[in-house]
Amino acid sequence: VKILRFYPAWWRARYEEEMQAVLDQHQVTLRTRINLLRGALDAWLFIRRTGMTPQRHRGRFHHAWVLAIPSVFVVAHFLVQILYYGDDSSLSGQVAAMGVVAWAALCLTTGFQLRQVATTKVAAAAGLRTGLIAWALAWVLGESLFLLGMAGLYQWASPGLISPAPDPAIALRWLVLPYALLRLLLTAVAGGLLGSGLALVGWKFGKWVGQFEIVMRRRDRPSTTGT
Amino acid sequence: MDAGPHQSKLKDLGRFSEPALLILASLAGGPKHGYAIMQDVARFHGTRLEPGTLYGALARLEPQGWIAPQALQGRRRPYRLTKEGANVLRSHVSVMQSVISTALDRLAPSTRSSR
Repeated sequence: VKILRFYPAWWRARYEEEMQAVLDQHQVTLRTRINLLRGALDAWLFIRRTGMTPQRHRGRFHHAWVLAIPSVFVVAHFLVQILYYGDDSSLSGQVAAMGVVAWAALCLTTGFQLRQVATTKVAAAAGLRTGLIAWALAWVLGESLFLLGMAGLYQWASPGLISPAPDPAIALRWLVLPYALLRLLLTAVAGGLLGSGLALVGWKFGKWVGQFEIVMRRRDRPSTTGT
Repeated sequence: MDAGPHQSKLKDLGRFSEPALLILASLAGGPKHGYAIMQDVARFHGTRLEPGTLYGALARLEPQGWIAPQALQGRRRPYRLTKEGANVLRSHVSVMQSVISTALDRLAPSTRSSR
């Protein structure tokens, strides 16, 4: 039933699959279609009117800034490179690795959060979104810092790190090259696909953890359903 | 038990308060997925809940903590009544019971006198 497309995205992520399962068994009449249209309108007004959101609706971080966590490590990595340039310190590599770990943790968490409510498709899509945005953000930031370095911005801090002859034109030419955009695209796609895979791992792990939750609920059941 | 707060909470659901009550009553018999709830409600109440109404009510009951979703079974997701949901249902039913018994008591003499 195409009317489900009229529901808001958060609603569809949470209820579309099961609503579709109900509609497959239900005799869809004109009354059903009108009811669904009314339901779609209600869903759009739902949060504004009631201030409520389904507690189990997850898969999207409540705060978008968490997607920038890997980018923090990119900045830290760059600072370490400047401050410890010439040293044999492995700190720079460790910071970079921590950034990758933070990114992977974001993707895994995205999948894990969806353990109760999502299908494989929804978990994979959420992981794709998280992985792609977080990775692309970090990549753009890293490349920007690199370009600024090529433009000679950090010479005062570490003269040996970058070209001794600052040339902003190099950075500008490099930036507008289609090659840079292609790299960004490929990086984002790779990040998205890897993120999707990691989210599925997190989701599967969440399902496994969920078995224990079900056992705990069974203990609770006699007192909850008894009338 | 104080039925007041539960009563007002259920009424806060607006046009979904009646479907919500029917869903709570259905889930009191054990966890059910959407279509099973629709069938159960049709059986004990005669009301044919439409999917838009059913999920509108489920989406309101869930954040209240009165029902809880369980793991997907294929494409279906069963819901179960929580302890809080059972309390809401119990208090609402006790009020309804009081209304019914009062109405029956008061109707009885008038029925006798009309004969």
